[in-house]
Amino acid sequence: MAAGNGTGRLQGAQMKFIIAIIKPFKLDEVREALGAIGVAGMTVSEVKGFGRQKGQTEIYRGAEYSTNMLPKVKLEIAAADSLAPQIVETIQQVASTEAIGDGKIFVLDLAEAVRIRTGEAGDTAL
Amino acid sequence: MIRKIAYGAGAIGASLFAATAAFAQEATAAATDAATSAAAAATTAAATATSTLIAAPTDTAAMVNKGDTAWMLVSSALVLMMSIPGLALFYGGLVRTKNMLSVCMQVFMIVSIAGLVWACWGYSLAFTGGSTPFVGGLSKAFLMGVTGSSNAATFSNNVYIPELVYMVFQMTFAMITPALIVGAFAERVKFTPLMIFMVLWMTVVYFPIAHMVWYWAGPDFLAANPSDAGYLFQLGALDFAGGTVVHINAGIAGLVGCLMIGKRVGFGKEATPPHSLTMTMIGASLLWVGWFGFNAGSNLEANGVTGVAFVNTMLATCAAAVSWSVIEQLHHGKPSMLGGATGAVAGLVAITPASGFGAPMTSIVLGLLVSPVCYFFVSVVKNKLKYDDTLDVFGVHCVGGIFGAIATGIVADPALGGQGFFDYTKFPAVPGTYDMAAQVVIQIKAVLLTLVWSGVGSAVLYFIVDKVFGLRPTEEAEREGLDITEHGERAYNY
Repeated sequence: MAAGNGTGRLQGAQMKFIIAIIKPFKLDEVREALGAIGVAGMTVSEVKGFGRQKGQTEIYRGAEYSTNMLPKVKLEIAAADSLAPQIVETIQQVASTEAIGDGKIFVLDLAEAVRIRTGEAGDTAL
Repeated sequence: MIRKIAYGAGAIGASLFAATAAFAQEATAAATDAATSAAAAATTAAATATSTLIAAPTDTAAMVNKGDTAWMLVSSALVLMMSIPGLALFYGGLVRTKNMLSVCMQVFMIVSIAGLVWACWGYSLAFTGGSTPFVGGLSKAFLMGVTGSSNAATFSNNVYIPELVYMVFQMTFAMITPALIVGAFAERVKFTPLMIFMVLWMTVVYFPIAHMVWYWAGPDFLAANPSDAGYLFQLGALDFAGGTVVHINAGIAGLVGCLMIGKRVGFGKEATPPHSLTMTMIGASLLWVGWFGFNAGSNLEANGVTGVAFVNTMLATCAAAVSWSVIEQLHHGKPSMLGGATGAVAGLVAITPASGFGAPMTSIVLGLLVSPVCYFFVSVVKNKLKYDDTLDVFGVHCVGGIFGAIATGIVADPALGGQGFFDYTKFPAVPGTYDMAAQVVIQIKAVLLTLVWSGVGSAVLYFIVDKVFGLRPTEEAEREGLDITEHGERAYNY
């Protein structure tokens, strides 16, 4: 999906793609804090997974099921390089409960971004 | 449902009831006074009434009471509500999402088919006199002679209700009983063969057992013809609202079914948690409400004994829900909603045969004790023996039903505040002499007969239907889920 005309394209634009896995109940707080530092958008999905946190045991009329996969929320945020460290720091601080299972943050280099409506590309598309 | 205070013998009835209240409630002086004066008033009334009682009346039109009729119509609708949506949701919430509609549809169609079968030949086979005491005849097949002006007997001399009302009340019992069975092999049965099985099962198992326990000539006619009653009625078995006929009967048929149809694919390896305990809670609550029609309605009249059955049903259920939750708290550290709902249903099952016989305080004891027994079966015995009774039809309905049926012999004893029984071979009916040990033996006989009749009958029918039509879906269909493969739809389209 190369941007058609390429005119709005900033060659070598420096962008980061941030993926954060957090506890579901922290979502609203994180969204508010990120809004306050100028994050314009994000994508959120409900996911399941496991890490160090143990699963839960469910018992139905004596039948025990242990669930290894726990529900988490995944955030995906594309941001200009300049804003990325602040985003990571904010998520880390706001989403932390200082208990295992608080989640992880991954930061990737982002090669390109295009706004579908206008065809703008690079960090102006963010 | 069988023997209880006769309305006509009001003096005896009222004084016995007063004695019951006094025993069970440690009556205050005020209460005793009230009871005494009530008994005195009843004596006067009964003295007049007794003198005018008619044995074997030919015209019963004036013996029908509007209050009784209204109550029985309401009760019939309440019992229907137990099946749909009560039982359908209680069961449906416990299966996986992919099988939700299959359970709902099985219950819904069994109810519909049972209604037709009941009107065509069920009512007649259950509630007419036959050539044997084991099953009725066909004289009322297709409701022949059952009209707006024919009446059915109650438990009181010279008190009748419209026969169509009696017929439709009993119909709702014939609807819910086969529907209870499907929980035992939920998530793994083909729809149409199951419906065929149910028509056969009602005919061969349900109608004869209903006849044996509940059919009798009525209080104005039995004295002249004491053998005009079902086999277990003649034996003296007490089953107020269907512990044997409904719960033990369906419970053992379910167990046999789950053994013969076999375990679900992945049983014991894959997790099969309930898909919506919210639905299960709603279903259990609707069952509870509807059960007042089932138990209190089984008195066939709206009077003091109806109140006894109503209150006993309420208290036993509360007690059983509490005791199940306490057991879970002790055993697992957490009381579950499913446990609370299951306990309530176990309590309802256990009080069913005893509802019109016990007293409020003995009903509480009954409720407190049934939950540990059922809990042991669903969480220990089932896991040890590894049978796949999907929704614990055996563990709750059969085991709870057996417990209740036997306990009925104990709590009915007037020495414990119970209602005792009435001897309808005399006219007008008089209280029978209560022998607890003998009664318990009779109760056990009734339980055993039901277990054998239903167990063997069901096994034969499962075998035949399986050979002719096949009861089990393919493994692929079962994995896909019965909603799609049997019914072509999904319960939830988000």
